[in-house]
Amino acid sequence: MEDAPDYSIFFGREYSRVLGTVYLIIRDRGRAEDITQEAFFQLLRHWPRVAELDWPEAWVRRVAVRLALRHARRDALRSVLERQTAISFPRSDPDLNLAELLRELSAPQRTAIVLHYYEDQPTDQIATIMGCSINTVKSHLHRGRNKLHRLLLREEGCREDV
Amino acid sequence: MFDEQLRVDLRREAEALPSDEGTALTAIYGRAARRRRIVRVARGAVVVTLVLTVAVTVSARFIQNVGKSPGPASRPTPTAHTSTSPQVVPAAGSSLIGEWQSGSIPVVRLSSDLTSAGVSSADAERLFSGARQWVVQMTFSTSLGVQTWDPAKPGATLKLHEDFSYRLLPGSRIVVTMPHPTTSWYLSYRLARNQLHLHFLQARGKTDAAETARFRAWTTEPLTLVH
Repeated sequence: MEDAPDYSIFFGREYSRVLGTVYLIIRDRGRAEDITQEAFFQLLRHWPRVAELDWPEAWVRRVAVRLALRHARRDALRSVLERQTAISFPRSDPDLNLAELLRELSAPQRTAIVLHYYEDQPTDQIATIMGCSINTVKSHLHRGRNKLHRLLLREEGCREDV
Repeated sequence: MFDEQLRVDLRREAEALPSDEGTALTAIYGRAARRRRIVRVARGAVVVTLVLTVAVTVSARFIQNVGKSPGPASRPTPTAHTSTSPQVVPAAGSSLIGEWQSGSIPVVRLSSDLTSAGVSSADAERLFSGARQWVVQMTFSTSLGVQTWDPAKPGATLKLHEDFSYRLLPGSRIVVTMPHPTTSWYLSYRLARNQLHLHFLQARGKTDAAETARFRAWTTEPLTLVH
């Protein structure tokens, strides 16, 4: 495994991008680094075989996204429990960031949005990475985008009220 | 407009994330090295376990086989002998083992056999000490013991050569050897129920006529297994 110079090149080219994707999905910096390193560690173990693939970038993203979604599901369950007791305050951030609103989407919608708008991946490659059909990806993108738009309008309305 | 804003916001958020690629790559290589060591140790442990298991199994089988007789393939068969000398069958464990005893034999007949064999009447009379009946007992063990006595006087046992050596020969034959002087008596034998029938064949070596005549006399009557 140490005799894989191509791996180092691949790592230098893809690591930051994958880390950004994972971070945008789970919104936890430390955990995003752990997941990304785990995905690249798995890639290193299988590198001789993966390097022969036409699109090795999809392989490591698929591993990373799967780990991120697993974490997001656990995190969502925890958030539901916390929300039952938490008091919600109106946002006071004057500089509204759409990335912040991603939290309101489901994990698959978030993943599809991030892969499409951050990574510029086409729907067929998103389907490959997420392990679902293209129509499912389109559905996640459509619903996610609409929900973000609604959230943006609501947030803008709230800000004008303030 | 909305799509472009989303794209910009996501990239700005991700690019704000500090990324130490060198540290991450070192950590991944270190983890891979640790995993290789673990796999190596695990494989070594498996190999050592297999070797020990095989060694213990082989040793256990070896220990179980120690002291057992060799298998039929390695056991010499009687037909494997090429010697022209008579084949000797070990006496121990033979069907003759035990105490064989005659009934009461008329002394008149025994005296007649002895005298006809060249023993003087005086010696014969001295041997039987005036008895009318005589009993012969032969004990086959690792040696051959012979005792004779007057059944009318059980305490007055006459002991003859207690320890003849003997060997079984093929063809239901037996050779009894008296050491001093070296004399060999060849007999045939037949077992019928609990009875041993002996038949004197010949004497070889430095034969003592009187001793041979006596031994021959003891073999004239069938012997019954008593012990």
